[in-house]
Amino acid sequence: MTKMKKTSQICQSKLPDNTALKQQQLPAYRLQLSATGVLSGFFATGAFCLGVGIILILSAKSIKEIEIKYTKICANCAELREDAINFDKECTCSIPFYLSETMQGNVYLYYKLYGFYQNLYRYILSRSNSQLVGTDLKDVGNCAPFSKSHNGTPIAPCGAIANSIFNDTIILSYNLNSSIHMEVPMLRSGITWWTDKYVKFRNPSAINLSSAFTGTAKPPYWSKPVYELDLEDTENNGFLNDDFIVWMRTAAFPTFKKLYRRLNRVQYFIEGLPAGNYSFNITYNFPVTRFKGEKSVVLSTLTWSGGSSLFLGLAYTVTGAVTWLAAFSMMAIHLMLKEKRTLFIERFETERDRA
Amino acid sequence: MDCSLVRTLVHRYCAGEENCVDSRTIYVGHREPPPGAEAYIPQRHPDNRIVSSKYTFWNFIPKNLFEQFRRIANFYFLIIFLVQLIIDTPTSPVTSGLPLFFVITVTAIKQGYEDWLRHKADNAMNQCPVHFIQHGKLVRKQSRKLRVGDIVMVKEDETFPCDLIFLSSSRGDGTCHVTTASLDGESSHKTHYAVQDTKGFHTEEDIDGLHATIECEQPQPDLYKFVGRINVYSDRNDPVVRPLGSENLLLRGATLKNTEKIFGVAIYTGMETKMALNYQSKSQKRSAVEKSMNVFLIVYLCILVSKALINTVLKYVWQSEPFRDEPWYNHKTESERQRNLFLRAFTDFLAFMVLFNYIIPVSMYVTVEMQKFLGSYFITWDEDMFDEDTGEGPLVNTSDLNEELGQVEYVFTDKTGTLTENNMEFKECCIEGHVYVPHAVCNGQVLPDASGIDMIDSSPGAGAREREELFFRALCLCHTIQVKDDDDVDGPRKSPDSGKSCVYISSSPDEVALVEGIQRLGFTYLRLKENYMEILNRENGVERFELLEILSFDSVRRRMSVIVRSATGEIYLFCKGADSSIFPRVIEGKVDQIRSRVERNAVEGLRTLCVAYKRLIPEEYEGVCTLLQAAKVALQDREKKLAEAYEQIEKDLILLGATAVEDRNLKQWSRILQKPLPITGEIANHVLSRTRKEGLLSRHRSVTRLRLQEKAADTIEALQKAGIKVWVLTGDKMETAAATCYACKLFRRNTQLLELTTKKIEEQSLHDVLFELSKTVLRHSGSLTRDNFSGLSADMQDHGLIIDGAALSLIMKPREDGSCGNYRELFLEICRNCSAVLCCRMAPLQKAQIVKLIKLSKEHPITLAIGDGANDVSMILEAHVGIGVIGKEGRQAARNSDYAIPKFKHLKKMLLVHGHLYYIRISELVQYFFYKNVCFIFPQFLYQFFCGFSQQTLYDTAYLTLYNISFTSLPILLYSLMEQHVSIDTLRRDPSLYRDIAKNALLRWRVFIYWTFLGVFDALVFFFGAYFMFENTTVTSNGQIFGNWTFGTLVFTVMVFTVTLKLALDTHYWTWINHFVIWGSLLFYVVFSLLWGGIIWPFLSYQRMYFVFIQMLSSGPAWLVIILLITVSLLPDVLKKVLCRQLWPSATEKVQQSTKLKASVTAAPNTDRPLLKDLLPRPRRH
Repeated sequence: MTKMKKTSQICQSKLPDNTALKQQQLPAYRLQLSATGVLSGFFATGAFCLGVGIILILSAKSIKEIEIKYTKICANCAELREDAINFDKECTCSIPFYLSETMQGNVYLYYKLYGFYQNLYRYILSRSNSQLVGTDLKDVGNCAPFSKSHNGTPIAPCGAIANSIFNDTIILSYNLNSSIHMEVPMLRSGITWWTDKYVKFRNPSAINLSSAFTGTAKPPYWSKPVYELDLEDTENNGFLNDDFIVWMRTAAFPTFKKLYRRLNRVQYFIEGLPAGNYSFNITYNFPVTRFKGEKSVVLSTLTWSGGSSLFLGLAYTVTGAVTWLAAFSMMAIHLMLKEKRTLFIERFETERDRA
Repeated sequence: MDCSLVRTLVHRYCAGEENCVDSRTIYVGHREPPPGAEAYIPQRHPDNRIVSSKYTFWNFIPKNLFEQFRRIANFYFLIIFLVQLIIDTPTSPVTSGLPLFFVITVTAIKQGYEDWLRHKADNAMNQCPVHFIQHGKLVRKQSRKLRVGDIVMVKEDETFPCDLIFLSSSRGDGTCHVTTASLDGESSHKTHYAVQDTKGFHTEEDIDGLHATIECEQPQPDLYKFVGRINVYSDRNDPVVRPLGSENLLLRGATLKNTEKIFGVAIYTGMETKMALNYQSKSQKRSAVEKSMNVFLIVYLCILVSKALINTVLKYVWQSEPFRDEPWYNHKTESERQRNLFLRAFTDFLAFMVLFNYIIPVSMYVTVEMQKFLGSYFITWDEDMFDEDTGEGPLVNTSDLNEELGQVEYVFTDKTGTLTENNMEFKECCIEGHVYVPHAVCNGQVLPDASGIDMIDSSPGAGAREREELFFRALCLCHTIQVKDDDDVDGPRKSPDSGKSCVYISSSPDEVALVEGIQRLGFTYLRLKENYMEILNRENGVERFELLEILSFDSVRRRMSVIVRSATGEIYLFCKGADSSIFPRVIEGKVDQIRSRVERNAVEGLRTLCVAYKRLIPEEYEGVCTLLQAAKVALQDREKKLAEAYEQIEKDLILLGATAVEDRNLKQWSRILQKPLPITGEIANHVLSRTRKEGLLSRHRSVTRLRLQEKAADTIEALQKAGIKVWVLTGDKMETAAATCYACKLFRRNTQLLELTTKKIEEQSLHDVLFELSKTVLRHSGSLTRDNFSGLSADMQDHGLIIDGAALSLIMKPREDGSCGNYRELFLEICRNCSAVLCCRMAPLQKAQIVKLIKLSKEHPITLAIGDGANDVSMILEAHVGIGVIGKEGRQAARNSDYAIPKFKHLKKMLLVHGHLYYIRISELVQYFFYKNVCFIFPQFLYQFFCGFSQQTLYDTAYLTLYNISFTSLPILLYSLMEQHVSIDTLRRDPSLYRDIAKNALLRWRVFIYWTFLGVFDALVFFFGAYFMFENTTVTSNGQIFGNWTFGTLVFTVMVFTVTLKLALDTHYWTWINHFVIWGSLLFYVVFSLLWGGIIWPFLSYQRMYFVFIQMLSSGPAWLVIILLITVSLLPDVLKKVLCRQLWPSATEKVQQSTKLKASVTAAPNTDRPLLKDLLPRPRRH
């Protein structure tokens, strides 16, 4: 008896479980790319892409943008900066231009660099986060070769990125008429990511900023120490300087632009930049000819979809068009083959019946 | 493998000259032989410790690491990791170190655990108590302390602690029963015999007094071979020398049954026991998928190296201008400036290698391994393959070959026990031309009134009666059956009609069937008692024959003999064997009549044996004895010498008759016979004429003659429809085998049979026969388009080839004139054009030879061998996939196979469903892995062109590390476990779908290149799409600017979504698990990115990802770009798929389509134009 029981138990345990998973019979939806499904999918995708594309193109059309390359215009300054010895010689350059149409809404001022590789491997590494967050000014571990000054004091902010900060000053002035030149009011705040300004970059805590940075040296290419970046606004000084923070976010490509100022919409400029004569007054410090680069200033308005480029709109439109084209040709093939396919089903059934 | 290596090393270096000695001398009970005996050869033997574990506590880490890094992939990743550690590279060593560490650790833990289990098992084994004799007393000690020469006592149901020479048993006749279930899986009882001169020593004191030495060969792994001799020294006499064979040897691992206790002397201990020697693992088989995977890997390795080279060269070209080499904003450090240019270039090359190394991911190996391991459970879980009669389910012995099941082109199957049921029944015997048929038998139970003989022919004369009885006695005596007495067995009683109930046990079912059949004809074999065989004759009188010699069966001789002495002192030799091996040795008897009867029976699918005898006069017997003795005590070449001796003894026989045993077979036989058979060839004609002439007779006898295994015919038909060529390899006679082949639809009515047999070769030369056959075959194949069609149309001409072992060996034999390959090629050409081949009269090794021949032919087809017996093992091991049928002939085949199934019919589901699905799954897995890593790494490569080849990475370290480990790993693993591109039911119903994946169709170069280009295309879309976006536009609506990490994150996000959605588009079978994993892993990516950028992680020295992802998502254009790029990357693939499906649909896709369309067709009223439908033959509906 016991033996019998045992064997039957063994049999049972050997019998596989009849669960849907183990028998590979889980209830499932079978995804088949059927002609109607795919065609309607294609048509829908195409319609969506075309729609978005057209909207994007229209909105991009409304954007105004002016870019002025000033390396050649300010050739004498550029020549001066070829030689590093002339670093303390000031050179300014004025670039007049005419704005034919009013730039409506918010206007942004960018500087744009050509051929400047902010994405070089060593360059990106060459910064000290613990220094920038204000915890340890002496930590210059990754900053080689700009970690310490000649006499051995640690540089603050250290590293190649900080050292090579864009140090031109760009001032836009509006020439209302030949005699009245007024400086266009610009905001220097709000050009950085909020988290950068309020979390990622911190000044070392001390009574005042200059004492906080005692025991450190300024970066070799800088003309003034970090605590003198903006003497007017303490919130914009030291590591918290917006220009500095913007620069520290390394660009992805050798041609890049960075936000420099926003238009402060007051007085004349409440609607934006009115049409008229303007000039850029640039203090030319940043050498670009040494690496065969160029620099320019950009004035631009923005919409909900960002900048002026037609790329996104065009890409959407083209994709939509191509999708529709594909869908139409597929439909043609499908209709052509439909006859053939009914034929096949017939044969299939015939064969099945015969078998 | 390691064990043997170590052992040989140990032998070579430690044991000095000992390795020259190929035999060993053992002093029984450590008693030295009397002086004057042979020279003492000191030998050291290991103790009885079994070490199956690989590692010890101390060497685990180094040894395991060494083993793991011997795998080329692991080694590659180690090198990459080390390079990352040593040189200054952009990617942190963590990115490759962590996955590698993970893989290595998991493997190590798994192996460590397995080894720990082995340790535990070893310890239990080594410490279990053993009884042995010391100074005449019984002592217990631990098994591991046993030494060679110790005398051991084993009780019933204990396993033998080491290999023993059987000295004596508690049974009077010096025998014992043993089961070797744990050794080779055979659960039947086998009898072993004690040494003649020691079987009298029954007590401990007696046995302690034994003075003997044993000489035997050094241990070797063959379980069934043993040669040795024992010298027994009795007082002052010359020693008595006795041969020892495997019947005297009790193997470690076997269990003693039905015997109270036995004594034996240990000869092989510990790692030298045959069981331990058999631990060695089989050679590893690798699947075709794995091979193509390795080829693809090499391609990718080349791509990797060339990428790195290109970038290194370009870097130095680019840097040749000094303003780029060292711009003012990016000075070099002093040490960098001083470094040698070549060294710099080399480290740059290595750095690029490291940067791009993710193109070959560690995780691919892990995923493939997991897929195989987990996937194989679906086979063992499969209810359809569970056999309720035996309570056995399928077994998976290796999971490496799952997908190979979907690639099989040739199936080699054994006949007996695989196709047929291996359930033997005695049908008739023919004595001197008179046919005897025992009364009807019902399920092995003799009907109550069964006592006489039903004679078909006229009654024999009085003189023949003597012959008749001799024939029956011959059958009763000439066998190696053991009788399991009832008092030993607690099982159910068998044959209740006779007073002496007994159960016959034998390794050959034929023998049992014969002896049981003879029992019904009046002669009952009772037992072997003290070397006397007892039989009960018709008058219920007991006859005793002294068993003098057994000339045991082997598959080369194909016969066996016994020499017995009757009570009257006459000495007989009875011989029983295959007709081909008996007829040439017969000098007397009604050969022609018996031969015709044998052939007739063979055609009907019965297994036939011939019986012959000869009378020996005492002088002759003396000669025989010395001949045998000389051969038996030989330590070298004993096999060969024995075979020669047998050859000399078994001659000049007198033919008595023949027997026919039914191998339970088939139902369709009668159906086939009723139809006209348009077949050619001698056999077919034979079958035909037989059918017409004796249709009456066969109906008279029984309706069903051959009984095939359930659904064997159906299975073979399905396999053939799937484009698989089925070969039957059997040791049987041609006629029997051919009949079975018809029965199981291997040959069909319209099959044209070609013969390549010894008979034909005798008529013509081999050369002519082969050329003629090839002409016939090729004439037809030119016009045939068999492969284009699904094989459904019935009016096609196909060929079947019949070849026998002798003809095969002629073909395989290299010619003297050097044109050796020629016939082989021709033969292969013929075989290739035959849909079915039958090889009969095959020796086991020849089976393997055939498999090898096909395997190595120039197309390198994937072969599968299936069989159930020990004789199929060689072919199972040889073939790409070996399948064992868990059958009656023991489990040896199942044990050596890669997969074991309970019945032949399960092969259908195994190949057509499981194989197909596994192949689809793993090929997608492999291609997808390469694809997603091209997508991953190619943007990184492109980015180098924009960052001055400075090795700046595009993605953050966390993304680099986790891409393959967690963001994209689970969906593909799940796909590779769950995917069913068509339903299981369809696959089973429509075998022709199997052709769609034949010849590694999904891993061909074209497909591989398509996937790679798809990857490159997608990578270009991701990269340049994002590039144009960043280049020209402000991506935010508040004017703020994104940096390089946002760019990388954008590309990465698009990539993760595209790659996952691509898989989603490929998934045909959406269960809730698929939904969960696919959407879950996308969600995980998003959540991870939010977390990773949401906090300043204190353990990181950088915060470059801080708020990058969130900032990106907060800008509208980024969303638009992501959506656009995903759409653009997926569109071409979808388009290609739909177009291919419409224009050139494969059979699988047609089925997918038609099942869907059929539903719509049947649902909606048929609105098709009638014109088209009328053009087609209308299906007949009932």
